[in-house]
Amino acid sequence: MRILYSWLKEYVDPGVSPEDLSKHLLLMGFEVAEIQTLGPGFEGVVIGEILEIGKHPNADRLNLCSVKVGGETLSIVCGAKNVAIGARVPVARIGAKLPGGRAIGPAKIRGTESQGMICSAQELGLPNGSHEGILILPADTPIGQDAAALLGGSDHALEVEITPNRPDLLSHFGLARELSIHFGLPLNSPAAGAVNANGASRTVGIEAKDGCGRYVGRDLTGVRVSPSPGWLAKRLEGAGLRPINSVVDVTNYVLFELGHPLHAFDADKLKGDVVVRRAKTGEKIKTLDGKEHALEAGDLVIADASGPIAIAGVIGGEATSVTDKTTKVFLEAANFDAGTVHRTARRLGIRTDSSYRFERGADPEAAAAASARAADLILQIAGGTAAEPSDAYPGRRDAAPISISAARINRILGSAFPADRVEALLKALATRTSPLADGIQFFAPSHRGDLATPWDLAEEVARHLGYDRIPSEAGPVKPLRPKSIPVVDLVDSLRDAMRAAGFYEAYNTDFVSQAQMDLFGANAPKRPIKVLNPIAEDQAYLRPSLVLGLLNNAVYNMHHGASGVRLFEIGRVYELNEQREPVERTYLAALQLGDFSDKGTWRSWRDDPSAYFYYAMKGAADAVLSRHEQVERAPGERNALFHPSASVVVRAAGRPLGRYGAVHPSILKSLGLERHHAGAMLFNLDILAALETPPAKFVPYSTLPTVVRDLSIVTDAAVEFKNIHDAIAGLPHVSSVELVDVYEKAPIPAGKRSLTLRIELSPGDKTLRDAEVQAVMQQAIDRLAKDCGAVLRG
Amino acid sequence: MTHYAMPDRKSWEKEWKEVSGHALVAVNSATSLDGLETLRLEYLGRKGRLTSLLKDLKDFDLGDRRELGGPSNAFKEELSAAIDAKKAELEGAAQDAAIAGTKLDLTLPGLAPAEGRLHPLTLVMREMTGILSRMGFSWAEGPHVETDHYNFESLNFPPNHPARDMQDTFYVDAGSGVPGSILLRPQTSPVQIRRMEAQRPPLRIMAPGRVFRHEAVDASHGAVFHQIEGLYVDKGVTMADLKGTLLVFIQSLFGPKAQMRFRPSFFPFTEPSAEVDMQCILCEGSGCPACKRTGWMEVLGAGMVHPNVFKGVDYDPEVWSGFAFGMGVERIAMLKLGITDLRLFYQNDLRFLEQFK
Repeated sequence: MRILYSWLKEYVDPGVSPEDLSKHLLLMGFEVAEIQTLGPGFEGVVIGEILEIGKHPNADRLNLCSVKVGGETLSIVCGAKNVAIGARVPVARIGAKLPGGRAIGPAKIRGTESQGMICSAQELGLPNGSHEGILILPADTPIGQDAAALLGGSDHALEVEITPNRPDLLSHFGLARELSIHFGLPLNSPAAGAVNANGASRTVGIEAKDGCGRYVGRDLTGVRVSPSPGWLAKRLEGAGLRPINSVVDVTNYVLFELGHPLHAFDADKLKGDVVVRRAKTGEKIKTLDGKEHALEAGDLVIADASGPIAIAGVIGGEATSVTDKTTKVFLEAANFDAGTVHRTARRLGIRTDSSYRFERGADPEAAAAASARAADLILQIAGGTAAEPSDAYPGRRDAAPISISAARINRILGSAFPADRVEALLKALATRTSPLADGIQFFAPSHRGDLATPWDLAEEVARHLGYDRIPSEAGPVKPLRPKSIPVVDLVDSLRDAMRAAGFYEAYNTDFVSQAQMDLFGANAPKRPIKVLNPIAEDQAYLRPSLVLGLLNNAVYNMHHGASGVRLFEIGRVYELNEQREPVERTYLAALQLGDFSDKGTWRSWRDDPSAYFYYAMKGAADAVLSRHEQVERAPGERNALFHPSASVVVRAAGRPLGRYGAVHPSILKSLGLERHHAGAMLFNLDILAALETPPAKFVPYSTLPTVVRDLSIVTDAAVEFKNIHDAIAGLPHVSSVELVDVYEKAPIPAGKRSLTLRIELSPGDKTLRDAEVQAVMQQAIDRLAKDCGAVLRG
Repeated sequence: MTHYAMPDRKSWEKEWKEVSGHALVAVNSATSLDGLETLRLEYLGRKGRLTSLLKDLKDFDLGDRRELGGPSNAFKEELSAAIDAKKAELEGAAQDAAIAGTKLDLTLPGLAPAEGRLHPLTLVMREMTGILSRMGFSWAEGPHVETDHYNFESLNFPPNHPARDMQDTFYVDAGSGVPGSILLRPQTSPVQIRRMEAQRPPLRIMAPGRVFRHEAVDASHGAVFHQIEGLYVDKGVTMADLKGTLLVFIQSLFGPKAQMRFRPSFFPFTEPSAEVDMQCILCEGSGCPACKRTGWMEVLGAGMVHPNVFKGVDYDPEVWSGFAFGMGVERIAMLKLGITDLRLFYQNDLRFLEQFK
């Protein structure tokens, strides 16, 4: 709400500067976003009288005027048609500055010297600047006086942010009323002169009673529409509005003065009876903004025999608008349903000063006063006569009183505001109060629809007496049983695990593009969630997978000088289920791409990047699954993201839990990263968190020395390590079997490979003797030969 | 290696004089471990000269044995100790000589393990939820894809009310109902309702999580960001409790000098409502560009739970009262970490991520 400081001061004088007022307003709950200084915009301009008008020697259309400015007379060239002897005019003397930075210097116009310039209103930046010709001032304007003091007068415009619960503050008088309560200052009401009324106005039928609580109509005749007088135009411009014509300007003026929206129809263009009703499907209306709108059944309209003539509370129709030729005016001051106005205005994308106020809730009681005020102003400015208003008021309701006491308010706030101050404030806020045994009954004024409960009054008291006077002291609290959420705890521990594994944590937004989804090809999610109003086309879907974001991050970083990335993200992914209900799952995703210098604990992957990235991700996956030995792992089947023969699917009790492995080369190619290799993993943390975790339990170990033996064997390359491991892991005394090396080159024959195993033997209650160690190792060799066809490497 | 032929006293004494006169001098002037070992064998070896002297004493009279045995045994101990000391000295010198050739550039980088990073928002959220959790708030979660009911109606936003426009909302194509009824939550407040539906009071929860706003992304606004919501419901909870709780929280997060200011505001789900400003941590209230020269920065919104919200979850507002607050995590992270562009959080540039350890 843009508030002109000079206008506000007509109703209440806060006695402080605009800057200080904005500080008070902030602590009352209304931030002032901006304070604009509205200066006169010019200097060095004085009032002069035109003494003589002569023809310019070299130009037919120019005059050479003698202008008296105080003690001297200037010779000034002027081209305006309305120059007249005796006219008092603003004269920009040599050295004057005009709006827009224009400086007046000595000038020769068509060979004749001009000692200044006679100004138009427009040249001075004055509100009624649309007039042609020079500005002619009243005949009694003192000659020689500084025009800035007379015409300009500096002012301030405050952009006050009014919260949606306070439509009563969306006017100069409304804000003044609030300030008068806050500061305890007298309030001047706008002068509403008694309107001399003749005859009756037409009655407007209210068909849609749930949409229109009151309709005050008034006919005015013999009106002469013209541009508004300067004072009115200047105020409207100061408040940020464009003056249109006297009648329309009055309706806007009263809106900014009292806060109640009005509309003026050209009564000659109304056909038959006027009603307020719901629109019929298929009806159309061309509105004041020049656009045609299709109406829907829920919309509320003002209609005559020809159809809708205005969208109630939103905007008027073009066909019945007031023009320069209008002589009969029908003035509307109504109360329309907030929800209806909001819905229609939003759907049509029209936001007017009227809809802004109605959708926040207008005061039905204010309609009659606004109508009277506007009628009075129109008669003053545009002449004519007014009829008695017609007033249909089916929605009249008295708000229920609130039983309240200072003690109750202090209980809500934890404050100690004195009862007399609280009650004095409540009385200033109420239309009336009546005493109760332990407090008062509070009757809220009609413009304060937001005051309905003791809590609302507690806020009012705190707002006016000071939020800073409520102590910052919390009372004692009871201990409550803390609730833990398994997936939250899991996320917390996995973040640390991934960090320890060398991954950087990423946060991506939840939006992905169609192009990103296309990466999945035929494996694209079947039911992604589409955003109905995306900010941009490339943010049209909610992410079905965290990997999409990580791949983007990889591309970004590789283009910004990174040689490799290791990233992980934990977050939600989205999809619809078969019933089209949204389903959210918490996932962990990790991506490793490009060059890394740490090369793991064993070596054979070196020649095969797919192998390296598979085993790297397997190592990271093992860290994630470290407390869940019971998961099942199986070779990955066809999948858009993963390399088909270098990836694994993890399941828990048959449910898919995740995947890890090398990234499919075609994905990297689509991203322009075909020179690189990558590995990735994905885990559904909702499922992982739901798995039972065996509680940590101590397993005793022997304090006697263990024995370590290395064993190098050669098997068919097709024999899996898991079989080799399992063949010997169960032998007596064997406490671990670790892989030291894998070797597949000469002298190992093709199709074979050599594995070096490190076998740790733990004693029982006696130190292991050599013979016992030999016996176990022989068993191991025998078992490997039998189960895996292994021979000792020579 | 016997140096004298007969175990008679005279020749024994002659030999004793030699041994006791020279052995210590020889040991103390040894210059190598090998030379020292040779001396040890010469005197103390199995057939060493001092060993032999002591051995031969057994053939003497008791009187001679007593007279000669004392000093010679004492001398053996003295000599042993001297050899050990000399050995330690020579070994130390040998070690020093061996490592004297090591020349390191002590400033070359250390061999670091591959260490990852947590995202700065994780770090700041951990700090914030850590403080709240020590103050007794339990973690609560809710869906990001919400219904109109949980996000608006039950939070006392009337249908078709402009208060709904305070947060520009994303809608998604889901569900079988009217389009526009399934949305991405623009606030964490729906979690309040879900928890109050599931649990009778008293309760004290915090709900950290993502929120979504349909607004243009710039250095201080994101379409996706994080909030932490707090809710406390019990008998007799007042606005003074809210102010006291938030002061403890803010001072725990920003240090004991942090100052807080409550000013009136409007949220449909709280009454009274407040915006909470913190004294600018950069200029300490004197006014700077970061706080738009006001000395204060808006950090959170708060208020007493609106009676209509309580009625909707079947809590009697005449019995129970409570407070709620919500704050943007990115804004606090930017203040704490000195980050001036919110978009950096979602760019995942390694040069950004690696800075936060």
